[in-house]
Amino acid sequence: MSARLWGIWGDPYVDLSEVIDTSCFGALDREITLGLAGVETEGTGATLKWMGVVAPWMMDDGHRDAMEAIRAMSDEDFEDFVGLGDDPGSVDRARRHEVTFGDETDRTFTRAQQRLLTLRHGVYFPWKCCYHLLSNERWDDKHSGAGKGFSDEAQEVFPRTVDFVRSLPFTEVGRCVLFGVEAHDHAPLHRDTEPGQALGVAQSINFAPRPGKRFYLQNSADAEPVVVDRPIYWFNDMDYHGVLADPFFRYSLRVDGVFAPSFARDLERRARLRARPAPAR
Amino acid sequence: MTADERYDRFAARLSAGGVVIDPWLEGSPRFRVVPLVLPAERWRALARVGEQLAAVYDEVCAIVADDPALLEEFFGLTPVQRALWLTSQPLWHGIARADVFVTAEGFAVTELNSDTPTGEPEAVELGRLAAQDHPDLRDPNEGLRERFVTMAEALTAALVDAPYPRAAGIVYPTEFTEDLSLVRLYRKWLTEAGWEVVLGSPYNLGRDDEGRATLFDRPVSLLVRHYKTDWWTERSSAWSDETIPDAAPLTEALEAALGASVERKTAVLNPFGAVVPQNKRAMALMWEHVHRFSPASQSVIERIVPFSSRLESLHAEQVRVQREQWVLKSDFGAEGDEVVIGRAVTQEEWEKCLALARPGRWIAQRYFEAEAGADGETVNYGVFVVAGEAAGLYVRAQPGATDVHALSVPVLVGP
Ligand SMILES: [Fe+2]
Repeated sequence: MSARLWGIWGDPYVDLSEVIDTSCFGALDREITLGLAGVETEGTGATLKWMGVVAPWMMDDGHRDAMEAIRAMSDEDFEDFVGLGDDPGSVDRARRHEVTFGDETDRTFTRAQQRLLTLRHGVYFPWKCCYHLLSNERWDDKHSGAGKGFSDEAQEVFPRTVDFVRSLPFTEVGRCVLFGVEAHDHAPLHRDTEPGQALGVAQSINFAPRPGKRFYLQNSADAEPVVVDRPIYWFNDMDYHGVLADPFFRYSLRVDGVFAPSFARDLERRARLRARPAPAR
Repeated sequence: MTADERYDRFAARLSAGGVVIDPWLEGSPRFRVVPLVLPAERWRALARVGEQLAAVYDEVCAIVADDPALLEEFFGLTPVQRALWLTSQPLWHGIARADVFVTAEGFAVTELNSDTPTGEPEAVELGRLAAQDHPDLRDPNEGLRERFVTMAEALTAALVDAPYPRAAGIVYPTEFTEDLSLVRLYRKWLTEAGWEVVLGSPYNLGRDDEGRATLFDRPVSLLVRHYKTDWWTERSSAWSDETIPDAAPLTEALEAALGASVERKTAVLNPFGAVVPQNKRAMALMWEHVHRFSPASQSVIERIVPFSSRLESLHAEQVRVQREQWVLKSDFGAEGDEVVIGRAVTQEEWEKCLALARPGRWIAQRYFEAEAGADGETVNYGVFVVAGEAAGLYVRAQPGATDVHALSVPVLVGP
């Protein structure tokens, strides 16, 4: 296990505030916080351990995984759980141990299932306030914008935010999600892509109109967490990343897509210029 | 069926192969559906031109190996570029692509891309589909995979002390989205040949305790390098008006890759020695120092390499007034990039280019008129050369000079 961050062009992450104007962030924050108060949001991230993407040294931190809880349920509890789903009849009870639920499956949790998992089974949902402004079907899908658009509700409730996302230097956008973390919650350290296997560093822009979310990167238990304190950035999701706990609500948005080639070239040139030859060893 | 429907079906078949999955560029088709059928004799002649050109480049490298002063005096290489050559020479070649055109006077070449050649996925996948539709004709790329894998394995066996893990790293600019079909193809080829394959950028390189290069901490015996030599080194603009400061070389990545290759722990493909033949000034050496080449190479140079000279060796006034007869090319400009065709620009633009061309970085090459087909298109025959032998063909068609908007054309060989 390497302690260093893989980063991007030798940097832990790319600070985009040098190249993208964030002067509208105060206004976006007002729009988003008001809008979130009214729209229906969802919980996510409760199956990261089951998916095998949580940092190995965080697996035993005591936060219960939803799939682990579902597999451990009695038949009676399972019936209650399935009964709160969208299509209880479609679940083959005889093969319940082969069925998966949650993020990136055909059976995402309903609000009621999320509540039951939390209240009765002690499951931890790290992001309790998620909102998809533009959705993909699957995680693998998130870079291709073909046929995708912002939802009507997103355009109505978050018009300035949608305009800002549209102004970002993408040639296409595949996904745009707001990730909100409630007071005292943390987001578990995990990675989205396995180093050495993906074709490239996922091109994404993350931004937090309200300062204070301690998003961090850390590739080993004893390494210092690298807290990203910039309002807008691109990080390598092959690095383990999470959000540190704080006693207040925080949120950020992640936009996945394909960068305009000139934007990517400009970022690379800037990174190369910052780099200085390593000292002799 | 309309032409659009036909292309959609073709695109679906192509994408199903899982290698080339982007059949459109900015909304327009990237490929032609109907194959070009070459008479066997024409394919043999093109193959010979590719091999002859590769042999001439091999002589360039032998001449430079004998006379390293040329690195600085003739090529103007930077210190790190010279180090790449010196630690790798005389090795420079694994796979290359010769760009060949047909003119009224016979074949002419624009370059040998010996550093990070592209087009293999398009050639292989288009050839496969075309051959399915025309089983009576031969796919000139059918053997490319085997030739590539055989070459890669022979290179590793020759350059790395046994025992070594059958693990390969493909190194390329992972932060960008270009050339990913090539990465998919190389990964497929190597995986099918039983190699474990790791993908990463130079920034993900390191070395393990035994000195072997690692990619994402995984030791690899072979580094397939699809990251241009000059990108590893000091980078500066070929134009003197740009105030961009020069960028530093990728020191740590080079320490890993070069160190492991010098200590016979990891082979690099193409070898870093490609920094000399990939430099366009190699073509100027062919003409300015033509007397140093073998008689056979001299005749090849005279026949297929357009007259080329370092820009500074020509009389400035001559180049200025003979705009229509010249093409300017920068030392490491990739295809179409930093190529100024005199006929395609105004006299004013031409003179501005000449004024801003950074001294020591450019060549002037004699313009040649490629024969246009009935539809006014020029055909670029990209002959793949693997370990010195022709092993495939990538055909592109376009009105005028080849750039990213050229259509890739399936090609088959007839009787
Ligand atoms: Fe993530």
